[in-house]
Amino acid sequence: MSILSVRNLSFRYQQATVPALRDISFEVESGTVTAIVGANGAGKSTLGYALAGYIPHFFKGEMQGTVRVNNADTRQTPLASLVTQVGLVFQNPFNQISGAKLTVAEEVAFGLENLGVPREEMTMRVQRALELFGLDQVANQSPFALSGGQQQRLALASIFVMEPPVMVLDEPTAQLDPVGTREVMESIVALAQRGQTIVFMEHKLEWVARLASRVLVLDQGALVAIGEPRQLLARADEWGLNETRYARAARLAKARGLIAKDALLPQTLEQAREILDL
Amino acid sequence: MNQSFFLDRASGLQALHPLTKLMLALALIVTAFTVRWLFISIALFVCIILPLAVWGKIWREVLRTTITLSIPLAISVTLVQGFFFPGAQIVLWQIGPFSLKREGLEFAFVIITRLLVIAGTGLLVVYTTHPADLAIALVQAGAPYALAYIAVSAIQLLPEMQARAQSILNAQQARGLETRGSIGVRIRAFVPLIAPLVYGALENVQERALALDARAFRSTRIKTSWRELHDSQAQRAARLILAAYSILMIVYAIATAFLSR
Amino acid sequence: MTLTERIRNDFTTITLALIPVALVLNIVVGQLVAFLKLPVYLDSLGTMLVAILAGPFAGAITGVLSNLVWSSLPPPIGNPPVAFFAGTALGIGLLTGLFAQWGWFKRALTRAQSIGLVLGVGTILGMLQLFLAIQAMSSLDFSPLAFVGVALAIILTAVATFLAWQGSFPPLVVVGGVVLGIVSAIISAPVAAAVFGGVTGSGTDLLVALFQSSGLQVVQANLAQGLISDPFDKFVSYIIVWAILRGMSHRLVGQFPRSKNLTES
Repeated sequence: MSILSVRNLSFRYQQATVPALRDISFEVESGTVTAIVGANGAGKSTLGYALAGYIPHFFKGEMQGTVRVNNADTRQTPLASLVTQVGLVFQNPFNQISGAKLTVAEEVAFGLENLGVPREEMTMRVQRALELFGLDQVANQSPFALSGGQQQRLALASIFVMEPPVMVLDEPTAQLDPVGTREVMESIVALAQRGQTIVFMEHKLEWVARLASRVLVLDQGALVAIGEPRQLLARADEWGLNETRYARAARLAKARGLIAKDALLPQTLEQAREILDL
Repeated sequence: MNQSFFLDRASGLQALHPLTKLMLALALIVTAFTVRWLFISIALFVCIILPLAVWGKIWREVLRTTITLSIPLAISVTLVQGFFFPGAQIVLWQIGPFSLKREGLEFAFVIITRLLVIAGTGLLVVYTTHPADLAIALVQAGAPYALAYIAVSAIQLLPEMQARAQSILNAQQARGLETRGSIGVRIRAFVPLIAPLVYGALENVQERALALDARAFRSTRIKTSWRELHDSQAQRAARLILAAYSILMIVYAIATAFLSR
Repeated sequence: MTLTERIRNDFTTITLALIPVALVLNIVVGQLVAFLKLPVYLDSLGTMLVAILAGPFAGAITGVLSNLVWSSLPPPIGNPPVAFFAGTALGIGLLTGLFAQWGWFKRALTRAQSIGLVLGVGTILGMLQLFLAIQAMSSLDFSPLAFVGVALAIILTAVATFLAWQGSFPPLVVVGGVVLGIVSAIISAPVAAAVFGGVTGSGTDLLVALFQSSGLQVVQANLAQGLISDPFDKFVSYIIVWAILRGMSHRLVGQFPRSKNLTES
């Protein structure tokens, strides 16, 4: 049974005239990494909110269709319960710092405190999360003293520590510099390797190709394509997306006859090596 | 990034439960206000507050800060009340048309020493109590969790907003905004400085609320705490005694005020 | 809606995320005003914003916490004795929330109604100052300077009436500010007298000295001084808060529980 099940989901924000999501249906299997791509304004974040239950509980508007998390309808389940099932991490590292805690370790523990986890178990889980996300060296520093990449890893750790079956990551590296981006993406790779179910929204298609086993393409709120990354990303410019540099290089190589015209475009370094027989 | 007074020094005073310190502060302040003796406040300051500060290894800071905070007020109240205390008769010093009167100086003395007690006890508490611990203690005593969150969060957000205000100031000045000069100029500078500050602050609120919800902030389960507060039977008893004392003193003061009408 | 239901509706997560920001705004705006050396305090803008966007209870809590946190910060910002004014801060949050609930920040009135209201409130202010000045007459030190308060009340009323006539601001905003100032002065005066000996260490102390030398008691002198500075400070604050909220997008306002306080009904 799918861990996430979306059926005919449509949503229009209260003040908006145009719907943000139009008749979207898909399933997510447990343990998989699903990427959602699309141009700006295509509805990626809105879909993320709907998966985590913030639509309809936090954002006002008109929602049609259903989202089921572990077979529970998000409309019928209170948000307090949903947040333990689907953890949401979003773009702005600063806004995800609760402000309630003066050290990184306590910040990670914040969610567990709210859930009433006993102190011994809390300490263990926090330590594990700190190590997984490379934050154990800064555990006693103020969250506000960290770099952008560290703060975003802190956001990931703080949600991960709550052990939600699904984690939704909305463009987690959008506001980070290249170093921060690499750090965060490596963390997400580690998460995926542990079997965490991940749904992530992303513009950087190279990472999509590396991490995702399935890609959903959104265009103006509608789901226009679902499929395997390498196949779909070859059609990147159909949907106004920036193709990866490997795809672009391969295109040029094709034009010069260096590789077969019908070869499937590579989207990652490994795929590029493969196609050039390196 | 130390946004609070807290000085982490190993001492008995630091180790006391925050509520015990608060009760003590309350008792001291109530005493300063209810005991009708001219020298009660200075006695409290010298005989109780300073020794406690020594115990807490913070006496230099307490002394220095208390005096710095009190000086502007002390000067003002001495001058205003010394010269202009209503109904004062006993002249101590005449300067031209103005006379320094004893009743006024006594009033000023009471006020200044009381302020020393208030500032001193306040500092005793904040210098020796970690803000997070104070917040937890209040929650354990029954305050809503949200209050603790608000206080600690505000302390941490302050430097960030000050930095933003500074960068808005720099940006506007670079665009030619004048901040010195006639009152008209300064008034006109106000809106371009404040509008971006307020709008910027409000825009992030929704996202932070989302993040709080994501951390089960509104969960109705009984919350646990990462930090441990050390308490003891003795301290609990002491708090009860101090609370009872404070209440009795307040009742006594109100009663004597009524009866002497 | 019962009171507890209303309180629960007001304290959404967004409200709880707003309050610390508003608290810090109080401090930073106050610092900005001091930097520009303007003749106002403007240290409760954040409290007023919360009161209007999230209701009187949220406003009251913001005021009290703002005051307590502010007083516990390191100098030069903080000063423990300031905590005694928590009651005033509570009043500011509570009243602003009520005024907003009554639609004062969005309702328009006819010019005649506006001018009438402003004159009415101005008269109350003048009457209070007159009452104090008359009290002073029974003292040996009485001098006509005790009527300075009345004179300044008249000037403030004239300015407010002009604004009401001119129509740039909703008259209820102006009236609300003056009323809040009056209430705030009344609540603060006893505290200022008993804890601070009637002074603040700033320029307004000269006014207190003036009033005391003209025959007013300590609390009365403080009240007279408060009735001069607070109505002005609060009415300026209200105008600024109103202008700020007017400039906010409907989407931004709509996410707060009491957004109806601002959107036309």
